[in-house]
Amino acid sequence: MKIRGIRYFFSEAFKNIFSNGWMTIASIFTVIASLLVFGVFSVLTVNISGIVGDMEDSYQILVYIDDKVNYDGVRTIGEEIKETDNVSDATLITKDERFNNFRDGMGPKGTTLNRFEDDNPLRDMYMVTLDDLSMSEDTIKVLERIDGVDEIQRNEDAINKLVTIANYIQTFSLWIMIALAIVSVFIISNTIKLTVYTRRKEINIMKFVGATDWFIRWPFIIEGIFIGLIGAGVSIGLVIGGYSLLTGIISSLNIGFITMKPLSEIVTLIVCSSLGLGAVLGGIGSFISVRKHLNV
Amino acid sequence: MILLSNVTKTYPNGSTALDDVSFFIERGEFVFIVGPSGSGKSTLIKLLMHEELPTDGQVIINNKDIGKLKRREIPYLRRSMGVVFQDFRLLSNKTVYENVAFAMDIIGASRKEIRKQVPNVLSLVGLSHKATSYPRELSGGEQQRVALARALVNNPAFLIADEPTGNLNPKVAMEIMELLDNINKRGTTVIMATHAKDIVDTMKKRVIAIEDGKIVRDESRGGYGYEN
Repeated sequence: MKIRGIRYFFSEAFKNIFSNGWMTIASIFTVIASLLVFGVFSVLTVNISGIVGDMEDSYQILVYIDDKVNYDGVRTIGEEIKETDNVSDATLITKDERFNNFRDGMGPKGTTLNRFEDDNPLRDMYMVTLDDLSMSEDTIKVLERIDGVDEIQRNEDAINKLVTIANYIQTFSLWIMIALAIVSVFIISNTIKLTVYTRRKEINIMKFVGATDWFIRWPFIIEGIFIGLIGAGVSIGLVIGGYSLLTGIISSLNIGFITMKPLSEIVTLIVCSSLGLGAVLGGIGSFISVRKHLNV
Repeated sequence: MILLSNVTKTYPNGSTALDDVSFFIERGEFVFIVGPSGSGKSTLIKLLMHEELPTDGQVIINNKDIGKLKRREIPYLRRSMGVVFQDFRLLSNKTVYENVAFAMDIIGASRKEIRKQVPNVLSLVGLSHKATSYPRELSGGEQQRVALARALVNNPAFLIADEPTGNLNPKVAMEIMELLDNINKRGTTVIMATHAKDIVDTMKKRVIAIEDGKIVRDESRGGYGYEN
């Protein structure tokens, strides 16, 4: 495309933007609203999956070994556990280590446990981490069948609940975003329709002088994209501002288990996806509204 | 060249605007299309511009059946023809110069070509001195000259004029006709739909007369043939 053409498209687009100022502002506000919701839900989703991920990483299955198994037997069982599908790692904690940890953990009162030193009631234990948490049921069934495994302890109810909630939130936010995207396209297309209407005479002349469809379309599409980008810019500012405010509040409240992603990790995601989405919504809105007038 | 071969046009509401119309227009001809209002003149012009497509038959322009053009080819067909209308259709927010340059902008002409060609065509229609005026500052005749300049600026093979003198007084109308005649003598094929009897009778050009969608007369050096 020639430079002259591009310059023409942009100057026409900006003339349009200023000639129906109020509708432009109304459209920009719709885009801001949509992208704001989009931003909030993306941030939420990212953080929830972050928290779920952290919990998955730290999730362990405790495999207790039968007291009758001797030292070598315990090692062999360890090898077998490690070779099981979906097991990422297994760390042995012997009953002596457990006893010492327990006693040390009690501090000065720990001496009361000394009488159990020769008759340690604790069992040897493997701490097992998994690759894929969702398959934990199957893995546990396999581990239970290993000879010498006495008992398996797990704590997956909480995790499962969290994963379910995270899935619900993700699905819900996806639908909200789709609905808002449709609303935005509709309102942007109405704004552009107004421009197209005020310039229908010009479009008609362009048609009979022999302008191509794209030549007529570009200024309107640029107008739409511009509306989308301005809206995206404002919503990015609001989301990022709100997020840093929230992280500040949460860290000052000192709630241990909620760790929010640092702002730097979500900035790129928010900026790129909002700008991209804004531009696409604007472009589609324009495309729809110009289409009808081109059929001459 | 323009060839209409057994063209019939029926609108969706059932009215037949053209009924089995055939004619051939040679390159460089000057042709009047006459007939009372509602006779099918406007439909004929619309078919030539690919604004409407024939229900039956073919419209062939420069050896191409324009009914078979793809959508993206239509603009290029329209670039081969300049069009003027009874209502001028100028852009009121642009000067005379800009109105004419606009037609070149649209087809992607360079700034250099535009600066050269627009003054040429403005002098051809006798409006060099009005280049910076806006349409509302011009008389009807002058506005139609601007429209003519815009139609001619891209050097089309055909000039299609739909009632170009309809809004003008007889003296100004004759001036426009003189201009069209000059344009024709420079090699442009001119097709003009009109019901201005005096003009047709004076010009002594080929006349195709349409009535109720049918060609009733096609004669070279003809007259209008109706009492208005």
